[in-house]
Amino acid sequence: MTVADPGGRPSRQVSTTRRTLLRLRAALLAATAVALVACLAVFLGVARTADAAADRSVPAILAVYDAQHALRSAHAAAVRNLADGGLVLGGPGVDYQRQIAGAGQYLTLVAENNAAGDDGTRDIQTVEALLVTYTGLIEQADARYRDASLRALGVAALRDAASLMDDILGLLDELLAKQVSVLDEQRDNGWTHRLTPAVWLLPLVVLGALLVPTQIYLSRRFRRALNLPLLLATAATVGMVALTSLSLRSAADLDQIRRDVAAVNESRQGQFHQVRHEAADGLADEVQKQCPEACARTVAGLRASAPPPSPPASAASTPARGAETETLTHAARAADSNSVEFVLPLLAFGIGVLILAGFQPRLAEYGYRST
Amino acid sequence: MRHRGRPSWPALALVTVLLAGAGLSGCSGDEPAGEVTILASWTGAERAAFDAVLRGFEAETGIHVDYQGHRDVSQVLQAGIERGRPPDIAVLPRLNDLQRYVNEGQLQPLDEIVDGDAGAAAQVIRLARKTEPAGEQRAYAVAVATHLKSLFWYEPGELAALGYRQPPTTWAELVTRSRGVAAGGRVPWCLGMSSPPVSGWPGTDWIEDILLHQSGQASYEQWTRGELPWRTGPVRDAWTTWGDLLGVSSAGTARAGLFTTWADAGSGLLTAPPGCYLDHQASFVLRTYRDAMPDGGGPVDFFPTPPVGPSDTSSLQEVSDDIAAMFRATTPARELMAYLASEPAQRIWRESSDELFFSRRAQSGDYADPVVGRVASRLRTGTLCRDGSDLLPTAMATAFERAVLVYLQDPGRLDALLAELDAVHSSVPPAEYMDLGCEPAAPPTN
Repeated sequence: MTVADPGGRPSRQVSTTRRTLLRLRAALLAATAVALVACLAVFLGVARTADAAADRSVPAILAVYDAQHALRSAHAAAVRNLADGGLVLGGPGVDYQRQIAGAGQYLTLVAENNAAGDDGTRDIQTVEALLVTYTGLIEQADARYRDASLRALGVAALRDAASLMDDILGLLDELLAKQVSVLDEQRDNGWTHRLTPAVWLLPLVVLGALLVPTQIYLSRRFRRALNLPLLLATAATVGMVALTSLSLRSAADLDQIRRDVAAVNESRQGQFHQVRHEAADGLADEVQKQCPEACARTVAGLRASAPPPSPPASAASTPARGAETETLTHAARAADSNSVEFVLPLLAFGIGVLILAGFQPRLAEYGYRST
Repeated sequence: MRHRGRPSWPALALVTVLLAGAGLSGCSGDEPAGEVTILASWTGAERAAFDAVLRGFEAETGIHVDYQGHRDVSQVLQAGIERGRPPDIAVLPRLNDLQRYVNEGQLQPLDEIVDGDAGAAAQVIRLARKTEPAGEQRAYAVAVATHLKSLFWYEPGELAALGYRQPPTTWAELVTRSRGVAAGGRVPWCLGMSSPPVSGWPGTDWIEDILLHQSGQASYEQWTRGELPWRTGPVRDAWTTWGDLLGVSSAGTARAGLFTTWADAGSGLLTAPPGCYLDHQASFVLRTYRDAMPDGGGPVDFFPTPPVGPSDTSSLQEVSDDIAAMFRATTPARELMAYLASEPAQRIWRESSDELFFSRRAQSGDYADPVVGRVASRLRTGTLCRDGSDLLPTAMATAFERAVLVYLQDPGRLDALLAELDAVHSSVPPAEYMDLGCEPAAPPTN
């Protein structure tokens, strides 16, 4: 219908159908934009969280365990070698040197990947400082062991070193707890929350819910069986749902990583217990040799501090390594975005183009036709 | 073209409210007014007591305190300095570290912080830089806690059962008494030298105390300034006097001391039957006794080190201090330094430590435990001489501690050990020695 203004001049008014088409198109484009922003935000949020866990927290946690194992092994080797060694060729031994060097490298790894901020950095520096004192005590023990008449002093220095090693390992336990706490925060943060998928799923559902009725409306209004571009846009929307749902997999992987870390801890504790028992028992034997009567309390204290592990833990290293490998595999999978962050904008752009293409012929047809 | 859009007042109002909310949350009362880091050696119960002081400071100022406690403060502090990240404040267990850091220009002077508090005067430690360019004497540290040494602890009932009802008043009586205890196959001395990473210090305390009470204040101060030889004269006499006293026990007892911590050794006083009968230890050992007898500490008592020589040295007492020094002069650090030296902080500390806290600052003389009260009152009388090995340069003190351990295992090596100590002495630059020595105790105020 064409209307005339009161002055009698003809006025060209947009038809109702055209207005409806324009509104539908605008709504679909807006829904596409909102869906893209929501999907991208959630996907990137989850991906960055998973990246941080895989690239920092997990390597830092595993490196702390490695450092603890290297230090315990170094100490056990020092006790064993000093006790067994001769006056001239004795010494804490190659094993000790190798493990101490290894511990230094693991601490460097922890420092590089430290996820616990300044607190973690400070703990690492303290451990490194105490390690200097510890190696000094082992050197002192070595020097005393080489003088047969001062061997008791060597054992006393070894006992001091053992006490300091307990402090160092305690500090590493605290550092480990801080790194694990960061991993827990990463697992439990907002991006990986179970309600977060609603943030991206809802806009996509709205988009789909608009595309389907639009298809029906166009088919009825224009008596055409199917609007192919809008059909393709609907398929692309389903594709966006599928791709963004990969963020759910990353979140599940983070859960799995946390369980893996708990498994690593369990297998490592068995391993540590074995090495600790070996070192404490060796030291107790040495104290007993040097002070057979008056040191019964000290000897008993040393043995009680690390009783023999109930199941033999000699095979524990294999499960520990296996659990660590699994942890790293899950971490790598969680952090692998499969380039979805690049595909999502392309899909959204495609949906936009298809929406424009789907409406263009109908709008052209109804450009100025009154209904 | 006429713009027909109307301003969206609700939207503008919403934005304003959100911005205001964000601004308010940034200024909320939960935000600390600053942060200060402090490194000290206290752990366990001692840390808990000090934590109460820090909480008091936080409540008063709103400044957050980040405490790091470890027994190897010197090494951790040195590492922090080398990395350019020292704590704001460190509580140093060794006085000589202070001189070294002053010489290196690492410490911040405290004159402006402590000069306004007259009550803190006895706690302030003034030093001058002893390396070029030499500096004027300034306040560089505050003794926040003080420990009385020159004490022998015992369980009166156990000694009375052996016929010793009064404490010895001379060294000769002390030697006789320890012989009497040893005669029945008992262990007279609680000996524990293990205290990593500075094992041996309980032995250096013995020798310092004997030197002070055998040769007097002047010789003691000469020795701490590096002006006395180790091989001859008063220092050698102190070593042999200690050796003679310990010689009343079996060699096995001395050897066991190498593997025993001073705390484990001291708790032997309170076992049944007693593991030992006399413990030469500083006032902080009271914590160990209380831990060994949680129902009140047991009837432990002490007597001061008697004169070893002919002179009356009963007014001389050895003490050690925990000294706080400032490495970064931030405003929160300055405030915490002032607070630690203040009367309110020391009051909180005394309460939180169950009165097992002593200071050079005058305090109320009322103590629930009379033994604790006597320790506190002794800090107000006579002359207080700083722990000698705390004053010695690190290389000298470390050699001293090691020499004590070797001497315990093999007293026959004494001459060789003292010769080595003289060699170490000659290799240490004089600038590393300290000029601090003995001072009259601050008199009581009530």
